[in-house]
Amino acid sequence: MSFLFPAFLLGAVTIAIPILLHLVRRERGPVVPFSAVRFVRRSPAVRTRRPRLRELLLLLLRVTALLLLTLAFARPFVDDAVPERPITVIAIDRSLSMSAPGQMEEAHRLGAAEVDRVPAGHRVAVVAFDDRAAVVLEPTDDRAAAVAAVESVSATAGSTRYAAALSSASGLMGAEGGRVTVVTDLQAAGWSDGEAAAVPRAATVEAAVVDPVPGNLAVTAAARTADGLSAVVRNTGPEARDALVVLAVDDAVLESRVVTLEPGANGVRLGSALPAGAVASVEVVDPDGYAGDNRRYLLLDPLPPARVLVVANGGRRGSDAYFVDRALAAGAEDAPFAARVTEPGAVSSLDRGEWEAVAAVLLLGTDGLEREGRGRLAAFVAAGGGLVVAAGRGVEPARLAGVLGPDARIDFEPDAGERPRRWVPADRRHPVFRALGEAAASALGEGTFLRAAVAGEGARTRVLGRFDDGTAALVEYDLDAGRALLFASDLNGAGNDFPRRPGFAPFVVEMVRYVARLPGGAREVTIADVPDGVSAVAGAAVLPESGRRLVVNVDPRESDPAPMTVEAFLGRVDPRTAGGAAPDDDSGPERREREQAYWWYALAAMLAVLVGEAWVARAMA
Amino acid sequence: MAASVRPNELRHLDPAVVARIESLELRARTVVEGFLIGLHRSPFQGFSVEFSEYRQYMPGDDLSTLDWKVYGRSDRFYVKRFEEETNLDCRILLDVSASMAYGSHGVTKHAYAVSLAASLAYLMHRQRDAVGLVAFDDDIATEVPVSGRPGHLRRVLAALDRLETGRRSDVARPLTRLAEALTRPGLVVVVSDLLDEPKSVLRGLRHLRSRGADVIVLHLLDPAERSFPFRRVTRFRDLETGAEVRTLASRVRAPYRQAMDELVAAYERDLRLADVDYHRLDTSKPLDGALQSYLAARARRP
Repeated sequence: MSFLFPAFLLGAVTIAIPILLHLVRRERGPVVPFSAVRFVRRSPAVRTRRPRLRELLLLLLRVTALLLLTLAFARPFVDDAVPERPITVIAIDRSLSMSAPGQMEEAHRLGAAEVDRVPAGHRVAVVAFDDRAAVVLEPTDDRAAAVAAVESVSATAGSTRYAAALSSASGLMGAEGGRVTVVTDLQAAGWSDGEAAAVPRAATVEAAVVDPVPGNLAVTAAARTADGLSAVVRNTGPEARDALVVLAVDDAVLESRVVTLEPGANGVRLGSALPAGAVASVEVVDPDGYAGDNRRYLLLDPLPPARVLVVANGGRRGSDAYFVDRALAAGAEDAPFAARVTEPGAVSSLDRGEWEAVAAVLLLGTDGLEREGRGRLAAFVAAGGGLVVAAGRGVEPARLAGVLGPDARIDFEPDAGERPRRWVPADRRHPVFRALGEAAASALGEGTFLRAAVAGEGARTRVLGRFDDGTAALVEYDLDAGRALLFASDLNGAGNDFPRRPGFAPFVVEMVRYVARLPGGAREVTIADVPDGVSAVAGAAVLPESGRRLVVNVDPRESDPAPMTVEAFLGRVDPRTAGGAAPDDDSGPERREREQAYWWYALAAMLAVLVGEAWVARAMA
Repeated sequence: MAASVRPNELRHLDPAVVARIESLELRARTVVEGFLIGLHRSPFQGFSVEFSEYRQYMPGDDLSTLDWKVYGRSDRFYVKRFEEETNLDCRILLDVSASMAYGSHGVTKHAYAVSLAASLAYLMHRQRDAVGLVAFDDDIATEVPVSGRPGHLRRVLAALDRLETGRRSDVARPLTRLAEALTRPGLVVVVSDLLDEPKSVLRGLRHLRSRGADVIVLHLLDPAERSFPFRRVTRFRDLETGAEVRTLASRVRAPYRQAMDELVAAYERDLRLADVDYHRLDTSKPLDGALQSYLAARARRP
């Protein structure tokens, strides 16, 4: 048993008050000279001990009440947390950039050496990371197990994300802190622009550096052209190299030739007439570099248009859906959209078949969106559908209650007054912005917003973009099945000039693609972004839900082994006051005490004791 | 037998009023005169020994009561009622044990008993009865012999005035001693709270009764002794022994009252069987009941 405010236990000395009063002012009763005392004494009810016992009972009850009150103020809780010892976390980089010959062996050697360096008294944990982090070994005193865990890590085709590794390590260490040793090739692409990782203030971060490969050849892009296929082969080495480039369609080699690759990006044209409906791959033979980025896949069959239901006040006759309709129409040629603009009141009239064909809903207005329509929307999202809400003046928050199901709700307040502001992505690694690319994502900040709603932020929301006044601009809701995004302004140019900016159309397209779980512009996803049901392996894949095909490729940024300095790496580490994975982590005694709330029971018991005390006192009166 | 006394006269007999009169003689006179005024207005008449009258002879009247002097002067027969003179020996046995010092309403049982004894003595003297006084606790504390001589009342009243409550009560012992010393049976009025063992009390009274004395027991009880109005934790100190009993009074009340009721009922029953005239007196009530009991007993005497 521990106490959140043990100083209040000093209040227990107050029990001396009733004890002293009992001793000093014990109710002896008035003396009454009486004549017939023998009849009093003879009464079977006369037991002079009884009042004394009652007084003792009263004293006991009063002391108990005071002790319970003291206990309640001291806020007791059962501290079942194991006393923490410092932890050394060894984080092994297993990304694609660690897959060159000899790199992983070097990482194992460095990792094992780090295990030997773990200070006495520290526990050791092993984390493997690429774009995600996985705990390979929970904190333990078993050094041999730690070495084995280190040596069990193998390279993947994933991209590097240091923030994931440091976040996982912070979670293991908690507020008590410890050491984190990142065994990595220090690939510069492992940090996004402006990204930083929070670690407990008591933690120290070190890097054990695996030498990067001197040069790497990678196919970083492939696109169909009118007369064949165009590929980009990147040579990260300092010198030109001759390499064999192979074009295959459905695993059958169509063409292979040796190409001289200058340092940097090299355009390579391959093939002639390519068959429709096939999967093409372009491979460069590079035995010294990373193996995973030597081949890139391309889907050659045309995509059927994805149906998008645009719900706007006034339907197609109104102007609210104009810009969105235009943006969707201008979507990528090989990933078209079929937008259907409808009035909110007509949502409920769509039959089951029409709903099944809808990939995403863009909600721009709610006039006339009645309960049945909301129910249809909720069922659509619950079934895994995608929803984008533009919180302009045409959308009434109250009409969105229950659209995300009974437990989640779209939370925003209408316009918070007119003042010019701009918005920028807060998480550029989010698929919406990653698909846009750096340039287009930066272009999003060009729009000026005069009116914007205030979106609520909570445990199940994730802010993807913010206005320059700090309020949320783009919010994703954490749902069990479907995906939902809230854009905190309109998409019809009423409260902003965003639709007239170049970033608007791609942004709308990528939002819809994301919530609808559609493959990217080339119908490809990176390994980090594979949808559910698709294995994170480069190659052709089939979406289990729709049966549509897509290709999975490695992140082209991972092919660049350019390292950064240790100082630059550590410069992104942000020591925070609070411990744990998040700055506001709440895993301390306060949380345990709040969850247990024993003070409430103590208070209730005290009240019960006081009631008993009053009853006994009344019986004595 | 009951005499009715009107409320306006009751005022003179209220124990609290009577107790405020300093002089015991005046106190007794006030009580008795007030009592007698009430009696004269009541149907209960015929005991005024100083009252004499003439009335025409009626057949059946005792010829010895004819006043021949009046017949000689008027030639008519008149009957003369002579002032009556008696030789009845009246003894007032007054309990002065410590328990008599209790009083819950400004008048202790002792003060009430003294007033009562004085009133009785006054009334007896007025009836030309011989009066004696015995004050006792566990033995005879004070004794004034029986006498009907003029001035004797003052001795009795002076003795009453000097009385103080004493020790533990033992009613049987002084009664037995008195009975043994009794040479001429008369009237014995016992004024006591009888907070003693009923058996020994009965034994003493029976002893008296066996010597031919008419016995009147005036059982004084304070109203608090009957109702037991105490509620809180109280330390009851025995007036006779000084012993304390600390208890929650409200818990004791019911069994106490039951015990007290049983005691009173036992006295009523057993004394009636012993041919003893028993009267229970509430010390908050007027004294007339006691005086009436004396007069009633006096009337039974030949």
